[in-house]
Amino acid sequence: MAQEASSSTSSKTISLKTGDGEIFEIEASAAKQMKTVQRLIDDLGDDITIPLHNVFSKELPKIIEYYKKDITGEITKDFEAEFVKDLNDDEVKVLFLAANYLDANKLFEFLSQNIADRLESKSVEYVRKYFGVENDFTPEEESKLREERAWSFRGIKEDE
Amino acid sequence: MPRRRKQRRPPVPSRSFAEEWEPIITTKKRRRRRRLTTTTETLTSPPLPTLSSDIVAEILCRLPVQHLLKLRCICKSWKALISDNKFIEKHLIMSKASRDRHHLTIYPRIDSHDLELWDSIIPTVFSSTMSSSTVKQTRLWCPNVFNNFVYLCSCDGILCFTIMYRSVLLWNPSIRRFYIYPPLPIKDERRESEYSFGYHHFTQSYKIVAVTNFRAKRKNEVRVYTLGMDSWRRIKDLPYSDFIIRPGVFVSGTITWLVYDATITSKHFIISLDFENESYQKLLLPNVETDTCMLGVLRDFLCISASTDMFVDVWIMKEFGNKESWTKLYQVPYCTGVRGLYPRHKALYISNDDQLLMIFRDSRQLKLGVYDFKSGTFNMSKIESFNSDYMDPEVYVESLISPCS
Repeated sequence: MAQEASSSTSSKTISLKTGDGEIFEIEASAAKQMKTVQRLIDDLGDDITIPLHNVFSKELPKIIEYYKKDITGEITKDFEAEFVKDLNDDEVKVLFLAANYLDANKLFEFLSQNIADRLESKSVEYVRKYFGVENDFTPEEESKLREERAWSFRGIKEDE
Repeated sequence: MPRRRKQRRPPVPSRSFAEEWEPIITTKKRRRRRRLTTTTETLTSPPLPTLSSDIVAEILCRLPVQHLLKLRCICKSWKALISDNKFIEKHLIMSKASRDRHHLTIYPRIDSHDLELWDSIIPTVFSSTMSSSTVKQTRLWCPNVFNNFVYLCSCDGILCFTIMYRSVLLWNPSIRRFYIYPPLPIKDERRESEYSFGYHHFTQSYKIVAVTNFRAKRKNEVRVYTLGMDSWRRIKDLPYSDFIIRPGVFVSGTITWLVYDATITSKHFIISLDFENESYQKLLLPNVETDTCMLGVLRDFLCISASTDMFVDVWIMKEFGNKESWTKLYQVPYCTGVRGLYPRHKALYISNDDQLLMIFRDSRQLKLGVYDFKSGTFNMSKIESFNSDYMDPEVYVESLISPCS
């Protein structure tokens, strides 16, 4: 039975509006785990719809799903493995950035580890593209660096 | 090999991937720890954003060292990040917490010039005990020094060796850097030196500690070499006059030795040198009914492995310096066949799920295995051609820390 508390917010839901205009509901206790959302609630009150300009309708439901499990203490290794199983590297990255924006620490750390695991055997070119980084070394500088550490360049798997 | 390039781009400014995004609703609270960056802001899903360097660091600190060294050539700011001390420290913390970043090294006891080290990662050592597969080992590249090495100890991914007990070689096998430190400034040759290595948190420096026993004088002189300085500095003598057989271990900001009091109590006790005030403390062992003890470190606690007739009792000192805090963690039954002369059984490493990696060794055999506390079983690790001609295996953690002065 839901609590009829005047001060408790455990049964209260918060409305979140994504950058592309969709609205999702989340329990207040889950919203507490996302510090950005909690700060916005503190500033704007918990009765209005909280706008999240940098999170979109593709990611937010997944994040809500994670924290729904978190508040009931059901996050296990199996759940986490299942959670990212069907996501490709780019989808995980978008989720990761959303978790960062929302200051959702637990999800952020889990996804950091997941991205690190995915990148562990990828090539330098793949990682560069993945992070959107431009190479500012000259070809000579880069080949010198590679030569110095030629032994660390073995054992890369094919880029997917 | 020439890189394929479309055209030469102008040098990228240092903040190329750190365009700040100002939130539309500013909150009065403290600024965020991490910045999100985005290249555009649209109502549909934006193109994949680039990441700021502190977010990149969060991911990179979880990667193995070998991969990070490759990624140094991604761009100049990544190279700078990977060499940055704060990043290196963060990476070390993550490494220490991860079983995947711990390695086991074994090396045969050979009297030749070249050191031959075989390396495997801990997860494969553990999994080999539960399956029929052997542990995959790679031969480590070793420093090319033509003298006998003896392994002493390790700290933060740096292995400490002595060359003929006259000088110290520090080596980080993960980054393949080594450095040979100058010998002690002692002229008298009728002496034996033993060395240990550790980290002084307060001054954020690594120190080598040399204990030199003068046979004639019956004393132990102690000298410290701080990496970054360039000389040995003498400190107070050790409050113990006999020769120290085994190198000390680094634990809790101290170097700690197990010593034997032959004169009064005929028992082992512990001496520890605190880096902070360079003073010594004597500590008693837990109440073990045996003289056969090995000192070690388990998960940052001082550890004693005490071999009795039937078991190896593994004790840890939960609060360093407090004798009452000795706690018996496990009583590990002997694995079959190893109950001979001169036992030197030792707990090496404990995983997050309480699986204990142990060495069992006597004068004829050397075995390595995993003790599972929950099931009370001990399973052997299958390392090819591992036998009693090998030195004690050691566990070290991957790190980016330079062993150079």
